[in-house]
Amino acid sequence: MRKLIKGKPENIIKAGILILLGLYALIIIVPFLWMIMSGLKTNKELFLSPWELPEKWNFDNYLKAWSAGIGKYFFNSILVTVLATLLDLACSCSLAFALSRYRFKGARGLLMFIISGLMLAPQVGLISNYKLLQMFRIYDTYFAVIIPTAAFRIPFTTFLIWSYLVTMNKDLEEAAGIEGCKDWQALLYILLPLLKPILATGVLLTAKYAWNDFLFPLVFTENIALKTIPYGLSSMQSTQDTNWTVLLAALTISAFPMILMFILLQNQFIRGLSAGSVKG
Amino acid sequence: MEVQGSGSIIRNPVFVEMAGIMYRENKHAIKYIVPGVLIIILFIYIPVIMNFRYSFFSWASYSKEKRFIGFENYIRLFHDDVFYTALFNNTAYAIISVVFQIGLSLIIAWILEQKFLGNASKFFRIVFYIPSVISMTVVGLLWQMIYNPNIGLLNPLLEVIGLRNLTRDWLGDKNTAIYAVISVSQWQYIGSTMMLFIVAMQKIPQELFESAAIDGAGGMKQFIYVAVPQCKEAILMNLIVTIVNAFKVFDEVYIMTGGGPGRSTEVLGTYLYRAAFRNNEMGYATAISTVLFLITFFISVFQLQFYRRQIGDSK
Amino acid sequence: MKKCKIILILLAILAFTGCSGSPDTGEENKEKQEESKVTEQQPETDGEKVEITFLHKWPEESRAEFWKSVEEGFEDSYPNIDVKIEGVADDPIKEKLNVMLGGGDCPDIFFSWGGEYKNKFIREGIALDLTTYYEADEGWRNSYIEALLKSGQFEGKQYGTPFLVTAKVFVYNKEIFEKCNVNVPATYEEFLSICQEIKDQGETPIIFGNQAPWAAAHYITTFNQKCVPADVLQKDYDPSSGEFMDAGYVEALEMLQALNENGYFNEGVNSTSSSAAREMFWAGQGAIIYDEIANFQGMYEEKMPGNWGWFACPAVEGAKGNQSTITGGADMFLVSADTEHPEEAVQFLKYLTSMEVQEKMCKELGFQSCIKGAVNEETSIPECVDAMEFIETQDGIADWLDTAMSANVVDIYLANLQELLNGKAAAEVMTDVQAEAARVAKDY
Repeated sequence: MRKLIKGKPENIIKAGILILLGLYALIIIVPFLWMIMSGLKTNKELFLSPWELPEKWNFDNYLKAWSAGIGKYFFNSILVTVLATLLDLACSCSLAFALSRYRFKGARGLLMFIISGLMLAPQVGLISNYKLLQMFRIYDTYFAVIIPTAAFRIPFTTFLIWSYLVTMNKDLEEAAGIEGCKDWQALLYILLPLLKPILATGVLLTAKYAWNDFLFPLVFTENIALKTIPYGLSSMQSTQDTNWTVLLAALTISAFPMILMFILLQNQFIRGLSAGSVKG
Repeated sequence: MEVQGSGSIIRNPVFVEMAGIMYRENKHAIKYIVPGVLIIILFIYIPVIMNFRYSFFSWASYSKEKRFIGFENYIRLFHDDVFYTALFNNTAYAIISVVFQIGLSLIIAWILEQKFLGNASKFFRIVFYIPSVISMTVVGLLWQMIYNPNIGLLNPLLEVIGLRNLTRDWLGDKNTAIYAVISVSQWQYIGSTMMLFIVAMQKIPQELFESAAIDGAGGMKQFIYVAVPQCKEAILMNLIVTIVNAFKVFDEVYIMTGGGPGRSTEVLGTYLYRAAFRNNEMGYATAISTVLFLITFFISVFQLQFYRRQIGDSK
Repeated sequence: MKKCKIILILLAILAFTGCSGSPDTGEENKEKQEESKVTEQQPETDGEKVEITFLHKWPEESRAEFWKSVEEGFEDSYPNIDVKIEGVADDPIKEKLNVMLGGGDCPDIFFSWGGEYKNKFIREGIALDLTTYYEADEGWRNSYIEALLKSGQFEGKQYGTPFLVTAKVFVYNKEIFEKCNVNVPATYEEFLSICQEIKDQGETPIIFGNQAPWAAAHYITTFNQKCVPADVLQKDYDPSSGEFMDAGYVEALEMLQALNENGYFNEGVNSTSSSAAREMFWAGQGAIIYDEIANFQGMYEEKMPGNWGWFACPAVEGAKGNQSTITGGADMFLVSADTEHPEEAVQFLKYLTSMEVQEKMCKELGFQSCIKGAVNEETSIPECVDAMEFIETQDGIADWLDTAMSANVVDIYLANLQELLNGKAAAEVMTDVQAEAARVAKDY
């Protein structure tokens, strides 16, 4: 302590910076702690003493949240996320493969055309998409969320994989080509394993987007049985007898997988950021 | 940056030749292209064009037919106070987001890159980034409760630190509501751009800083004269994305205020949603989305330039 | 660059054909739908199950049991009909209904409020005229409380099947009233003075959550009734002739504003949701709350047994409206005009409004039935019985403001109510409402 105060002004600045960073960290952590703690209270405690620790730890709020629908929404979220991610990656991989491994007229124009999709916000086509999905008779099915979600991710994911592919060493593929490998075999058995790191990045970014998306499930599905977690949470809040502490428990439950995934796979996340320079 | 490097490689004629060697039968390419391109055309491009057409009609979602009304939806829009409120709010969103998600997060990124922080840097990085991996719905609902004057954390906290006169009904007062919502977005996303800037800064050659230090540049000067110019591309890119996102914003507002109190927090996204699905004026809603399209389109053209540079001119 | 252009042109052609073709494809779709109807109907003649879909607005966890028993009970009596029941919460259902009806995936039977809300569906040809079904079954028709059955009518024809009736009254906390030494008020004047008294004693007089602004609309429904003559109201609420020029509208708004500005409400009315408001009331954080009698049994008696009472909004002396109406309405069900199974749908509605189910509803959900005699000492707590008796003594039930007029006017009116509570002048609010009403009337 003495060192800090009596030391060079530089040290005081450093201490100040640390304190500021600590404060900012608190601003982020405290709301989460409050959320977890309040999820353990009774409704009455929440309203009468929002700051105090719960008298009794009501773990059954978490059970209630799960059975009140979060369990079902969870399943839907997983299904939609997995399928949208698969569809996105399958399309983007093939596109990137074709664009980087074949030479044909208009390839560069096509790439620009695909990437231009980034310019169009999902909201812009919202109503037309809603009409289109009805026309295709997939409105109010899982596909009504899965396909548009994947569609809006394809431009970015394609670019991500393409830029990885064009810088990759092609010796292995060439050898395969000489040995008479078919193009799809080369893609499946030789390229895909080599693409693993960038695919992981693509999966993470698309999964995060699909898991958190609120707008498409809100508009493109009707049946409550098809809704994903974000909508499920907001509908829990709008019922007449909102159980606030159960809602808080539900928030905790649905935030948890993403936080866990991030902490476990931070390096992939960061690589994704680095590769795309875009917040996914 | 990995991607950045690719530009120079693709410009190399030898590389182009090599790529051509591998799969000569170009007719095979088509089967890899069709599914992806079809999905993009169907669900991204066609809806945008349909949208233009719809905006010249008056129709409800359950109407059996649409009535052609020319530019009437647009004329009404330009006389609509709420439209200007929404534009103002989106603009405020953009400006504040740039200040925090570009300005502040650059500074934080710079600080976290300083050596004296040691392992604490990694801790802060993770903590600051966490909000941005969570869904806006969770964050929005959580903050809605935190702002609530009856059960929330914020007002009691202000009282404790002696700022009693600042306590208010944050989301219920039309003067503060939009800023309260915008703040939550900053809380969520500062960490996200910060991480991008950290990644960019780590790619700056150390020698640049060293030689700057020899020239007598302190931390501040190194930041301004070395770090910022070297991260120019990342800054530019994030600037565009942040602004575009500010005009696309929907979840935050829909969850936290629904556009209220009154219409004070309406943004283009929620206003078009309200017009379409609450008031059932689909034509009017598509006119709003056309405006949203024009705004995001013109900003994104710059973003596209950025990608175009990476794709490079292979001539 | 050239290639880009070619692609763009291609895209434009694709999109152009795509969109210019869309109205036709719409019709084609319809034909297809009809075709599929035919094909779908065939197996039914083989004695397969008929499926009908039903949409209500009470998805709350505590009410799930009731709906399950309705489903099972009905399917037991009608084994050839499979009913699929879905519930969507009160506020989102307004959007949901719009979207659903637009999607062509309209449920066979769906919830609607009364008033203009229901009329709009009827005018658009979405609701099925049930007059013949009602005429064919005198017993069913006569089981209703006459006035409530009428709320399901439009131009003399029966479209809606009323399910329950509810009304808005003030619920008070007996303990706080005793502590502050105040009594149930007989006039609005007295109401204001007890609020002042409660406030002076350091309690919050009224708990109010207006995050979803229909809550304020319910106050205004009541105040409009009290301040504006009935015939003027009727003319203004009709979308084809709405003007809202009467000075009574401004008075009504000022009454609400006064409650707020005198500090009779809790803090943060615009950011408190109605369910949070109830929660606060149950926790004893305020003396009075404006709520529906439908919540008496399931909520108030449950959460604060013996510690609550109710009174209707008292008469406003000197005001020009009808002082003995009550705000409320019959919640009803409409049958889709596109339904393939009208017979089965009516069958289900009859089951839903049978004495057996209605008594069960009163008992288990605490709602008030539209069927004569279903609210009785057996099925309901005394407060509900009293309230039902009180409703029948009133001159009429005023439909909720937010369902009584065109959706566009409601949208402007309600948003303005939040601003009113933020301090916007009442006269300015009415200027906005008048402008929108004029626009709607012109387009009508």
